[in-house]
Formats: sequence, structure tokens, C-alpha cells
Amino acid sequence: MATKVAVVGIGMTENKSRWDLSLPGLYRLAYQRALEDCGLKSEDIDAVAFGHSPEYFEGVNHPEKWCGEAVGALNKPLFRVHTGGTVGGSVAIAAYYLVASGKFEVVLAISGNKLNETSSAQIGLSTVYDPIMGRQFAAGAPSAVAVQASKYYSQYGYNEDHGLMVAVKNRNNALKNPYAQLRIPDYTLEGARNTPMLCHPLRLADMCPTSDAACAMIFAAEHRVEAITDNPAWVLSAVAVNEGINYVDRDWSKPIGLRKAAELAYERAGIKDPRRELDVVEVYDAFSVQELIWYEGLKLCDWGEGGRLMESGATRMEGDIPVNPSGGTLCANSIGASAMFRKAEAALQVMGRAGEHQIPGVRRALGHGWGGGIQFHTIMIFGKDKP
Amino acid sequence: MEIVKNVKRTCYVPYHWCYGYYNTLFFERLKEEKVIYGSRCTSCGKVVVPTTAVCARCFAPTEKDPVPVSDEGYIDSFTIVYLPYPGQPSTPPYAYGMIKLDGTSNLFMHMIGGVPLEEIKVGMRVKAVWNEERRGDFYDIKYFQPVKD
Amino acid sequence: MSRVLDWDITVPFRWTCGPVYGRFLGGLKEKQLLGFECPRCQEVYCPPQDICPRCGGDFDPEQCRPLGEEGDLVSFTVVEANLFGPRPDDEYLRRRIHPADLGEHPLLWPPDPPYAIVMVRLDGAANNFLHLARGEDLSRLQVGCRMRAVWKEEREGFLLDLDRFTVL
Repeated sequence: MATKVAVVGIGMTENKSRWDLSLPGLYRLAYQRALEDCGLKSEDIDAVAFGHSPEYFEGVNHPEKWCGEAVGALNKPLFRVHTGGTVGGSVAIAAYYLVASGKFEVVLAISGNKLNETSSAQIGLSTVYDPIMGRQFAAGAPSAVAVQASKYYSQYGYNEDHGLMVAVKNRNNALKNPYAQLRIPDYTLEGARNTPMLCHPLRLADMCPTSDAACAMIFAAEHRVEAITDNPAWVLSAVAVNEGINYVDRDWSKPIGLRKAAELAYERAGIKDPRRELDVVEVYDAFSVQELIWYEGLKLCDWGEGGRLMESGATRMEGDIPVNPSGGTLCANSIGASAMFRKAEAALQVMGRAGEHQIPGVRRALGHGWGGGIQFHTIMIFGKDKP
Repeated sequence: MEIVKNVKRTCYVPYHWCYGYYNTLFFERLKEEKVIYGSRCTSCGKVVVPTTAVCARCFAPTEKDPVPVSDEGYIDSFTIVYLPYPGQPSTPPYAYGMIKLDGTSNLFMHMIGGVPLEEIKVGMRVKAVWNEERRGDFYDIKYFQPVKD
Repeated sequence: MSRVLDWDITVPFRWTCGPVYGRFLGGLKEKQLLGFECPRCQEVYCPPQDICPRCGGDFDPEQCRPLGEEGDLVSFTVVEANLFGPRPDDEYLRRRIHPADLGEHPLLWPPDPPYAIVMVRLDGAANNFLHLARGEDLSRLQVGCRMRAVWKEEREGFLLDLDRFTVL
């Protein structure tokens, strides 16, 4: 039987383009804020799970080599985890596993990136494609997701406006989140429609910004939780599922890997009707249209109903299943930290500490992440009550 | 005294990537025969392009002999790229997409051309336009051009 | 016989220094080797890091002073062979990245061999400075010999503003 585990401390840096801190300096800031958040000291941490997205995004290599001391990993175990865009989610899950295994009692998960350190992020991005089969099109991220978007819109009879509605919802939510990068007052559908087309059918408004940020979470075993905090977020389930890239009959607009992850996560958390039993959801919407597709993968609605769920207003802050009250990845994307931000935001909602974008009375919250060729999905569900 | 903000440099790393048997076969035949080859899964019987050793859905080996496939199909999804960035295959705006070649069960990524960009639609029939001079790479096919049904 | 694809990954970057490195590189521009004292364990580092690798303390960018330009050679190796292959020419690089980027982001590339990688313990420092020796008779290098810093004429706030160490 695995040890019960809770999140006891969270540390975030603001998402922005920042020239005041080096990469270790950025990790240091998130680390110190997480320690301060729960009143722990460096020596209280037994092990560190460390994340960073593909190194070529910022021209470094093997950064845990010189960032270890910045996150307190001196003379203690350090594990590097790497799964592309969802790395922050995989790191949080790895830290959870370390504690759940019973081998460690208090473990730090930390992940981040400084995406502004290249003037050619798309070259770095194109290196994640197979050099022989794929990199020839130097697709980068926007155009790969644009292909997913055009498939989704045409398959279900939706149009550009459905993605832009997500952008408007999340950008307005972000105004309430001091850690978000894009905080634009009076953001309207009309304004979003007038932004330039970058990769049809995706406009500038459909895309995330490039951020420098790090996020840290501290996980503790049940018997240590009480002494650290009286307001933990219990881990109800943690799941990571990978699907293939270009397998037989893959439908880019129907993420079976996410559906599988969601079914496992709900089963382990004892959730039968996710739309009713979850109080808030944070999804990794690096591009607006993806939020609609993830609604479906997460069974908040049926396949093909994502656009209509958006239209209904149910996923707004005041709706019955609010999605991305923080503004989501669409308003802050460092890649390395983004999937952990989704988990940390879900945990904060459960703790009732999300500030201005807190949803009232949250008892169960889900945080999601995706990475790679829209293929690696991570899910964590947190609860106010001990499982 | 100045506090230096950042250090700017360019990294250059050369590589020699090995194609392996199936990728070599795919590109050699593209060049020599002007034919796209795929592989048939011994379990589900479906054909995937390019040639490959294992079906990514069943994990079963593919048949030993590669299968020639049609250079016609339809657009499963596409994008028009307006955003310029270094290393692009063409000057924006240009279109590329996922193409479902007739008789195959996965998607083949390539450029879409020979048509005004605003006329491209999901579901359109397309056919490969070949380069007369072929070097054994993806651009032995110039692009896929829409054709009448 | 498998084919091989010969290609490269070429990307321009700008790495943020942060307050500690930023001050250290500012010092190099002024021909100063700044030693930073760890506020927790009091060891002096040149070059510094953001965080003390021994005790985990945060360096204070203000807590630094110029060290001398001399130190002891702790260890070294002479690189005789070209380990990096041919240097790509600028015209090729401009085709691979945005042409305007190359001027601002020069290629990061090692010197032509022979050169020496030297580990110098500057007088008053607790750690070793990994740097170069070149353009002299490298057979004079011996562990324990005294080394002195030699500066570049034009300096930009980069580690190689310090051109090399030379045997005294």
C-alpha cells in the first residue's frame, strides 16, 4: 500500500521576460518561495526531482549539473526528469512517487525554463523532430498545433471563433493572477479576431507567450504533513500516459492518450462523473483550441462537444466547471514550468489560497499537462480531504 | 562598474544521423522509382508510410517487402504558415498538411502547393508533384497539389 | 548500407547573467578579477557562482573585491588535436540562422590547437579558475608554476576578455 501524500508548499515565480536572473537564479527564487511557503529549511528536504524542457530551447545542456545547488540539492539525491512540454507535470508525479514509495518523506519537485534566451526559439523547437523524418518541415510548435486545430474545427463544424472564445475567457481570468504574463485589460472577441494570422487557423490571440519562469512544489508523507501544515492538498491520483506520434488511424483531434489518463485518474480518485465531482480544472492550453480538445479528452463532455461546452459558459470562472481560472498556459508559458503550474494552481485551489482567482468551495481539482508531439499527458487530482 | 546583462553567442553542432534500413529504403526508392513506399502490419494488415519495421499501434512487425502506395490522397488537416522564422522550408505564406494517401492508414506530412492558399480545404483530393531531379530526400516531391475528384 | 544525414543544429542564444556573474563579467571588462565572498562560509570564489557550491549560501553581488592577477597552476592539459572538426564559415552560418543574428551572436568556437586548458588557483581564492593558455611555449607549463592573467585589448563583458593565463 502506497504512502498517502500531500502537497504542503508551493513556490512560483512570475511569468515574464526577465533579464535580472540567471537560470540557477530563477530556480533559486521558486525554491526559496516554496520553502518559505511551508516554513521548511533546505535540510528538511530529502530528495529533489528536477525538470527542464529540451535544452536547445535555451542553448544549455544537462542544466541540473550547475543548477543543483540552487535548489538545495547538495549531498542529497537529485533526479532529472524530462518529457518535453509536460516535464513540470512529470516532475511533480516523480516527486509524488518518491514519497509514495515510502523511501523518502519530504521531496521537492522543481522545473523551469528561460525561453527568452534564444532569438530563434523555432530552430530549437525544430530539433525535437526526428532529423530524418520530420525536421525537414521545421514545423515548430505553432504550425504543428495549427494542423491539430484545422482538423478539429473541420471535423466538428466549428470555426476560429471557438478558439478565440477560449483566449478571451482565459486572458480575462489572467487579470486576476499576478503570476500570469499576458494581463491585458478589456480583451474582447473583436480584438482577438483582429490579431494577425500566424499559422492558419491560429492567430496571435490563439497562442501562448514565451515566458521565463520556474515552479516548485513540496510533497510530504502522511505522517509528516500535520507538523508542516494544517492546510495540505492531498494527492488523490497521479497519472502519466504516452501515445504515439503517427500510428495507424491517429486522429490528432481525438487524444486517446489523454482519455486513457483521465479514466485511470478518475478511477483511482473514485470519481464517476468528472464534470459534477471536480470543482475546478487547470489544463495545458498552450494554444486556445487545445482547451476545447482537452475538455473532451478529460470527459468533461463527449467527443466533439468541446466547442459547445465553451459556448455554454460552463467553463468560465462562474460556471459549473471552471477551467483555467489562472489564465492557463495561454497567458504564461515557460514550457519547463507550465505543466507544474497547472498542478500547483489546482493544489492552491484545493487549499483555498488561489487569491483573486480562487473558485469558492473547491474540494477537488485537476491539473493537466501535455508535451512532445501532443502525446505525453499528465494528470494530478488533488483533494481537500485525506483519501 | 557595469553589470553585464547577458552573453550572446551562436551554438553550432554538426551531426551525422544514421537513417537505418527502412528510412534508407524509403528515400532510395523515392529517388530511383519515383514511388512512395509503405509497410504492411502483419497483425492489423494496415499500411503505414513511410516504410517502418514495426506497426506503432499493434507493435507487430511489418511484412518484409515494402508496399508501393499511391501518390494521391486527401488533406486530413493543414495549416498556412504566415510567421517567418529561420530554417523554414519555404518563404511564408506557404501551406503544409497531413495527407492521407490512398490505401494507407496513417498520415504523411508534406507541403501543399500549386493552388491559391485560400482555396485549400480539409478533405480536398491531392496528388504529388515530383521534382525531375531527385536527390533522395523529402523534396523529391515538390508538394501535393489539389486535383479534381 | 544505411545512408547518413550530415547536418547541424545551429542556434543563436543570449544567456542571462544574473547579478553575480553580471558583476564578475563587468569586472573583466575593466581588467579586474573580482573575488566573491560567500556570506555564509566566508570562502572567496573567483570565478563566482550564484550559489556557493560548498555550503549552498547565496552570494551577494556587492560583497566582492579585486584579487591579484596571479595564481598557482593546479592542473592542466595541452590540447594537441582539433576535437571540433572544421569551423563553419560565416556565410554558411548566416544561411542557417537569421542573418542579422550572427553579428550580435558570434560563433562559440574553441581556439586552434595547440592550446592548454589550465586550472589556476588565484591568490586569495578558494576555487580554481578554468581557462586557457596559448600562443607561447606550452612545454613550460608545470603543475605548481606561477601564472598571470593576460587581457584582450577589446573587451565586451565575456569570459574571454581575459585572453589567457601565461607562465611567469
